[in-house]
Amino acid sequence: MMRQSFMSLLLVILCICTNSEASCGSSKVSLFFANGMFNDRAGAYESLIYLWGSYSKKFPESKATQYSIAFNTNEPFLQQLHQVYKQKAKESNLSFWKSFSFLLSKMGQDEYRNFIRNIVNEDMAKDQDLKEQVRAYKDKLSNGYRVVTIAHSQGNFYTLFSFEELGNDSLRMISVATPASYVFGEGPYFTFHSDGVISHIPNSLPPNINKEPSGIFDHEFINHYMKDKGASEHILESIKVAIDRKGEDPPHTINPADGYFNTDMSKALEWTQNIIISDEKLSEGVCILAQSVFSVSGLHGRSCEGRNFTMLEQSVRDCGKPDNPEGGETNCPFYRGMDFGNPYIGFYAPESNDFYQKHPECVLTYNEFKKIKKSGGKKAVEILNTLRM
Amino acid sequence: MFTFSFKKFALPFSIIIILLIAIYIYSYRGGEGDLNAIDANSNGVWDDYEKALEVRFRSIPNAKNAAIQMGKSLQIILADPSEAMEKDKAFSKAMSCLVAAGMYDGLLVQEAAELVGQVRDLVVSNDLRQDRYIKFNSNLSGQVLEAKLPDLTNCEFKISERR
Repeated sequence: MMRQSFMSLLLVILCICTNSEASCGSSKVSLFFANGMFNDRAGAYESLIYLWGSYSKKFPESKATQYSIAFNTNEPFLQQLHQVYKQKAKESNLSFWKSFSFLLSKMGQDEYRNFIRNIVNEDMAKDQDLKEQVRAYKDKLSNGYRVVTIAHSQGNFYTLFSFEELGNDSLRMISVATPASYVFGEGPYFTFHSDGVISHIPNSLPPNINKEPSGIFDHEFINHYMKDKGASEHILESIKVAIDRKGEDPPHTINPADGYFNTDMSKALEWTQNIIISDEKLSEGVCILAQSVFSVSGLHGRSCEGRNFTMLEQSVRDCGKPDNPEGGETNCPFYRGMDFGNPYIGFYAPESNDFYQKHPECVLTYNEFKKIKKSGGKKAVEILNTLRM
Repeated sequence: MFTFSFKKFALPFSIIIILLIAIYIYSYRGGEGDLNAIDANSNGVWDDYEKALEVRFRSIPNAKNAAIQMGKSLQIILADPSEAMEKDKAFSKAMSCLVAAGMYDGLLVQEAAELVGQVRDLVVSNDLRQDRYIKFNSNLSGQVLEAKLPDLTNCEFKISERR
């Protein structure tokens, strides 16, 4: 009897563990730090661990699964600076890797500006062979990871070019002290008004945060950005949003590999993908089910776990229910507001545009929809039951 | 009449020659063109660095051992910066150990992270070492490097009890 109870308990625990692990396709996050020009190998590791420590302290419940460094450096620039260091070393009394702001402050204004523009520019990144970094990002994506890269300074160019080559929806970029004119996927960026490097880069994104007290360099990742309370809060909160995907606006693609849905939706998503490309004229039930999938894709403020089969089921059933007798909107989520051109449609998965173009038979006026919803809703539930996992 | 007496000048002359050779050797070993890889007690750790650690890491004994581990991995890199990806594995392990050991010795994670840069500065402390280290960095450029989180299992020494 006791053994049976123990086995049952074990089974329940196992089920819970299995469920929580498999609840969301891409809950695995691989976090990258793309270092700037003034960071060496040890400095890049130091930056990442500093970031990890600060993040873990602020958000102990939110974690990335893996950590890596997308490393870059510029030997001619470092050699050039090393020559200056040799001449000025005695004055500075600093180690080479901690002397950059001092060394740059010793240059004349024009010399300094030219020097900065020569070393921090996108051509430098374009010349670099990025295939290893692109391959690594690709590997992570194909193994079901979402990728979040925090890029500092010149690391922004390397990240941008790598991400653009892949163009995947599971890539997130957070820019710190960026010399670039945009951030991949319109991600967040943080640049001090007093950043003494970025302020000399033409076409870089305008500075958007203040540093108190400000200095003349204000560009280093740890010493300036992470040690500034305000900047650090912004950076850490952006990482939290990118890792948890909370508060992100749709569109959320229906590709299961992109990880916007709970894994119990995989069959339904694959079915919808096939429906979109189908050349057949779709029945009412099929239209309602596909539209319900898109409606679940547009659920705001939900994690991928929240966009699950139960939500889809509820959405389909609501579409089959009679309208509210007191008037007002229909119970069917995807049809709400359709009289006004369905204001929600912009929040649906981008594939919904292909769907409506390919299948105009699914575009219905509210009166047409009212006529078919009972029979169509019933049929949609029947199909849905075959997609249950 | 002045007569040159070889016997009279032989000793001072020899001393001067020996002194010149000694100065040359000394300046060569400690100068710009050399790693200054002196390890007088043959324990595998360069002396200048070992001495500096004694002073700087006295209050954090595990971190000191970890710094020696990191120093040794850097010595290998500075001796020859080629095959950087391969050599980076031991370096990466040593950095993970250093931060973990620093935390074990009572530092905050951010403080422990900053030990990494401090150790690098103590080891990469002369011109040739800096040139070689720049070369190593250049050899790693464009690569994706695994960042091991702080973990005492990456340490190659026995962790001593907390004080």
